[in-house]
Amino acid sequence: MTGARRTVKNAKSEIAPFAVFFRTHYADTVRLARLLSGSNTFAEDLAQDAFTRVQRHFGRLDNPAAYLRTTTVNTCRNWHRGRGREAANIRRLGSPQIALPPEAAELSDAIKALPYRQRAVLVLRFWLDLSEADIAAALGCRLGTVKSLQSRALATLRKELPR
Amino acid sequence: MSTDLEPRIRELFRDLADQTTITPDVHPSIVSQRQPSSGRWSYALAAAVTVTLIAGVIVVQTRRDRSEPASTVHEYGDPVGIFPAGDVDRVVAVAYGSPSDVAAAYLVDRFPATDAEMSSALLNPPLYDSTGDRAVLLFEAVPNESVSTGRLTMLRVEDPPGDAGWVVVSADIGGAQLGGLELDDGRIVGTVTTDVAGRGLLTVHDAESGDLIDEETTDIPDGTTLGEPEVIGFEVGDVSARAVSVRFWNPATTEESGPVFAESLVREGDVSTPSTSEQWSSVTDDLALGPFATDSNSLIESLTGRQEIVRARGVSVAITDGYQGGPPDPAMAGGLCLATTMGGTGRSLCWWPDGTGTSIATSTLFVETNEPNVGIIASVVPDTVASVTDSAGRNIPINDNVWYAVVGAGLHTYFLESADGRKQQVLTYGIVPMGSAPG
Repeated sequence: MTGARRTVKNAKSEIAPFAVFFRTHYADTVRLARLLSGSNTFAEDLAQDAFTRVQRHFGRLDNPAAYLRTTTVNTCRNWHRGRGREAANIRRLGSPQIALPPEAAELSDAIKALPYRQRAVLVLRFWLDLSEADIAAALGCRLGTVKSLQSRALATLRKELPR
Repeated sequence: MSTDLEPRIRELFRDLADQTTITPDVHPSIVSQRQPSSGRWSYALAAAVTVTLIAGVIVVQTRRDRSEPASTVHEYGDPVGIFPAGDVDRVVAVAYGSPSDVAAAYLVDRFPATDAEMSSALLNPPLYDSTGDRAVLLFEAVPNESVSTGRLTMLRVEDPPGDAGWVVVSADIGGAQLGGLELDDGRIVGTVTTDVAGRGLLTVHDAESGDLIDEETTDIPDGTTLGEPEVIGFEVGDVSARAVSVRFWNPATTEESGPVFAESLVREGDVSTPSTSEQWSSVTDDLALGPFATDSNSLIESLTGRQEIVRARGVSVAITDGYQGGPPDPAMAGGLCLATTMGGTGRSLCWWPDGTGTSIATSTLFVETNEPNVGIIASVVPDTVASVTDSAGRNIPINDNVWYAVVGAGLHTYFLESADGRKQQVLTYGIVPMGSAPG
């Protein structure tokens, strides 16, 4: 009996860190994926894909949360660039649609139309409130590039949106 | 710097985040049952995994215009430099040596390593066809920040006899395809099919000298999307060359779709070696036209060992060791990957036997073919899977851990059964007949 209990305990101790990490960050990662991808339908897939990649390196990561964030950014970028467009041809039955007020919908559409990195900068800056340095790390680019991307994104939105 | 726009953006993000659908109590084990998606090739399967878990339904709407070849989005670098095929009348190879050597030379020539933002590397040893005279090599291109996979088709030539060389007859990096190429009586015609918006540049070169014969630019509208590609016809007259290299290059945008590239050779009919001419024509068709559009019956072409190409109605199923279709990851070594391609359209997935993948592989690829309402479903399964059956109870053969089925319109459900009797539904796919809207 004692032995069995010890076995269970040991098993838990092996999986607990990732399980805790997963439960702690899952919802926010889905939300991040949703904002980065613009897809409510595929946000969970993207988040799970990011977790899958993180899990493979989990034991060796100094800052798994930052790694997860970067991985989510990259996963969404890949989705957006390639398969995401194909995924548009895949319709899941019962996919929930989000209704937004007209002005918000207009802004949402304008942000969706931005190049991915510009959109990502906006999400990381205005939703996650990351510093420019952290955004640069997440995007794998220079600090100056972050400033430039944000500036261009906002300029485009101001141009596209009625006051 | 705060602006009037920023509060609106913050509020929008908050609203969207709050309304995001999040499955309650998702267990972390869902992650261990997933395959990391193979970069740009495999998102359809990522969706499939989750759908599998919830025994859901995926509906794939077929392309509305099935006369247009499938296209996909990959990207590539600046096709600078000249790489003439050589004296095509005598079928001199561009280089003598292994297909890998020639392919590497081709990639270096077309996409110089000196470009700091562009690098390329061969992904696998050559995949030979049953004759040993044709080879396909996948390569990985890393333009800017993205990774994409392309394909080279090569032809073995022997000139002089006994001195084998290889020529690159087509490069296909997706996002752009050349089709219907004909060089007849000094006139070349063909089409470019692309779903990547931007300004495309079509150039026609003398295949022997590499000299530029003609060039055209075409604006591909922003509304161009996958599945509804633009088909651009072209015609060039007064061509005196006996063989020409046609290249299409679209730098597109660096942040979104990335550049695409396609190249094919076509030769006049007055070649001195008819058999070689047939080979060239056939191989060129492989990439430019898709040989399967006209050969609709299944053609199974099994190669030896772990490298295998199975063709069925326009789809090549390539089994390779290692990882392809995405960023290299040392942790993925030792995996078994399945790549399906069709005229540049490809998807892939990998399975790892170390227990980090699915215990029973439920990840499934779906690829459309050039035929209306026809697709292929394929998957890799571990040795523990004893059988695959469809909903009608028909057994689907498993060869080298791979099973596939060519399917038509309607719903398709598959079941895996392990050696110890466990049975699991893989996925239900629905193909909506052409012209119908998905439900």
